[in-house]
Amino acid sequence: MRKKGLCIVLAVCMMVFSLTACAGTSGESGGASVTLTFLNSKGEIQSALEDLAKLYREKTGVAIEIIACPAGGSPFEKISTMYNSGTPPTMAMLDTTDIVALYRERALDLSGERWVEDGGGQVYRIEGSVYSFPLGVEAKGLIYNKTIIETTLGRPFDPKEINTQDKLRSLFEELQQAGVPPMCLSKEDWSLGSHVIGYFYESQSQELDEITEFTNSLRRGEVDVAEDPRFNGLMDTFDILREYNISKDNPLAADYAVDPSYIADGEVAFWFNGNWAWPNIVDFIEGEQELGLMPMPISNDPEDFANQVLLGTGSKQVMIDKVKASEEEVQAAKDFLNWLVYDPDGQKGMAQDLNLVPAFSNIQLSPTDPLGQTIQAYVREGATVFGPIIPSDHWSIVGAYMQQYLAGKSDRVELANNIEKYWMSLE
Amino acid sequence: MNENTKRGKFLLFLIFVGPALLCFFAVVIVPFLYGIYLTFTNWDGISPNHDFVGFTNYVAVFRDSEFWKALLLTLQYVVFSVLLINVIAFILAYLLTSGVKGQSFLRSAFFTPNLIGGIILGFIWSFVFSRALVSVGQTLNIPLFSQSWLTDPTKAFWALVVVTVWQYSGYMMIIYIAGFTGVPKDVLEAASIDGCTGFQTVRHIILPLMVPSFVICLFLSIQRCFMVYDLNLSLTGGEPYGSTIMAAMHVYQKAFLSKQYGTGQGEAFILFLVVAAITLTQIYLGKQKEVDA
Repeated sequence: MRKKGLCIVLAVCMMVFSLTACAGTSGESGGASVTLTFLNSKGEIQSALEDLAKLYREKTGVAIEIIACPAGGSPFEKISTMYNSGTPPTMAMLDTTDIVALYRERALDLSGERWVEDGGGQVYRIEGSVYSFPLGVEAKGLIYNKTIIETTLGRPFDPKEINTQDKLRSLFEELQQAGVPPMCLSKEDWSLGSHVIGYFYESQSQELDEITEFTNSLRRGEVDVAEDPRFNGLMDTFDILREYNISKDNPLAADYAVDPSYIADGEVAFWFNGNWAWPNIVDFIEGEQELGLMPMPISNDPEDFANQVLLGTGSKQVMIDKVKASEEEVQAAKDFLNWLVYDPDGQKGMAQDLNLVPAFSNIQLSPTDPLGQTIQAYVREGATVFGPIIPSDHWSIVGAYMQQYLAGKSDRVELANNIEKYWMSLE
Repeated sequence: MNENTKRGKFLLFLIFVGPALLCFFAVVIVPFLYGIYLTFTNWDGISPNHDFVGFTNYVAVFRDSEFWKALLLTLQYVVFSVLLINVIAFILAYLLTSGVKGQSFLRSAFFTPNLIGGIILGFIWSFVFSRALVSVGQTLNIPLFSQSWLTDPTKAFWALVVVTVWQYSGYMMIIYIAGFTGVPKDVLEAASIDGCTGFQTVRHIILPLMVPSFVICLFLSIQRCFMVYDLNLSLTGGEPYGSTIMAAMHVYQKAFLSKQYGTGQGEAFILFLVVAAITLTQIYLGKQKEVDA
């Protein structure tokens, strides 16, 4: 009898346990002040963000819980799960394409915020309204190692002089002759698909509206990609990069874990990438190495705007939830964003602790890394372009086509046809 | 409570199975049924409302040539992996029950790869294939290894098979060892008295008695290979140029990357049907071959 009693007690315990386990970890907050949640999709700044949230709590009493996106998982999947389980974050850091997918039903209209003015061209508008806060500008281009170029060539190097394809090629040739491999080309699909091919769309115009119009005509199948001058210009440049690539013999064997060490040690002079790669590079830097970021020339016309400006890949965007967040929480979230832009502590946090290039012209502080500083200089001159909104699977699918081209398994016409097909498959 | 009445038995049953059943329903059955329901809607994974669209998603699935390509590749992968896993596991089990020196040490050594998660395993092996083997190949001048396997579609496929076999054959070996030790000694003795050679013993006595082990091992390896995702993601990531994307990975990308949730969900359901059909047939056929000693 006693045994049976014990069994029942155990079973009941298990049942209760299993039920409470399902209930999850809610009901922790309470307290007087609001607790905000913030979904972070930039893994490399997770701990810096947590520290910033701690600082914000000390200053204002508002607690912000930073939720990390699982490494390798898509932020869109994470936010879908959170909305479906009824626990959306108050603020979510997402890519611009995600904001476009979500704004209608989930994102709060932020058009009336003070920072919209100071954000200028970096603020993304959908149908004339603002739904997201630009958190740091990111731009791509050719990362150069000035130290190695100057010691190899024995003369000063000014990146602004390399504004045509011919000048790029002759510089590469000179470096090659002097025994320094000029170029490192990563084989990553996001780099090839999103960033390299991105030039094709971004260089069509300096107006975002016209670029959007161009991508719409791609969807309708009205563009002959193989005959497009921008596409051919870009691929001419890509062919130069390919020809002088350090892993030319087997380009797909390039290893992203090793690539940053090449540019950091001066084993190569150039690397195609953007400022987000700085944390990878800095680990390998020894001694004095001066690095910077320059626009990649994609035509032979020195006056061409595409050869003079850094083409942005946009930036991470922060949206505020309008479905579950209470009025109090919404206000607190807006206050936090304003704090980032207008409070000296917030400014320092954004520019230096998170090491982001601020999108706001009122912020005087510079990021601590040279690539970010280059971008900031270009932003101040107005010489960046907001990247167009390409579909979220573009990097993966078109990236695979680019890898094929890089490995010499397809030619330019096939690549162009594949890109055309990709756009037309988007309904 | 009286264990002898029907109600009493049911209550007892509920006490022991109830909690597990509840969890099983909550996290497997309900999402599964709801998932099937969602394939008939145009839900995008996040919108608060959705409409019923009938078979539109399934039409899209049948038009998605990439999915069928991925499924075909998965089939090839399953065939090669399952065959190799079970052949190697059986041979290992045979050797490690025949009384070799260091038998128990070797058993645990072969089992160890199974304790490493698929993601980590993928990263370790991607290092082996793209760096370690390459440098060995270049030093010793072996053309097969002097270029990374992961940069060639065919070799990358075989890399996946090799790692899968390495990972699972130890696990299946344990099941086969249990099968070997379960073969009654008297039958084996009788066989040897009757003059069976080693091969004949295996063929006519051990194999028929080990059918249950084969059924389990085949089921486990088929099901796991069909559903492979973690290894696929971390070893090749679908590269080079998307040539090694398996079915599960394609489904994930369709749903969460291309944001075509309904189509992705429909593809997942088709994958389920394929796996269910194959494994059930295999179990049914296997069960018929079972014999008693």
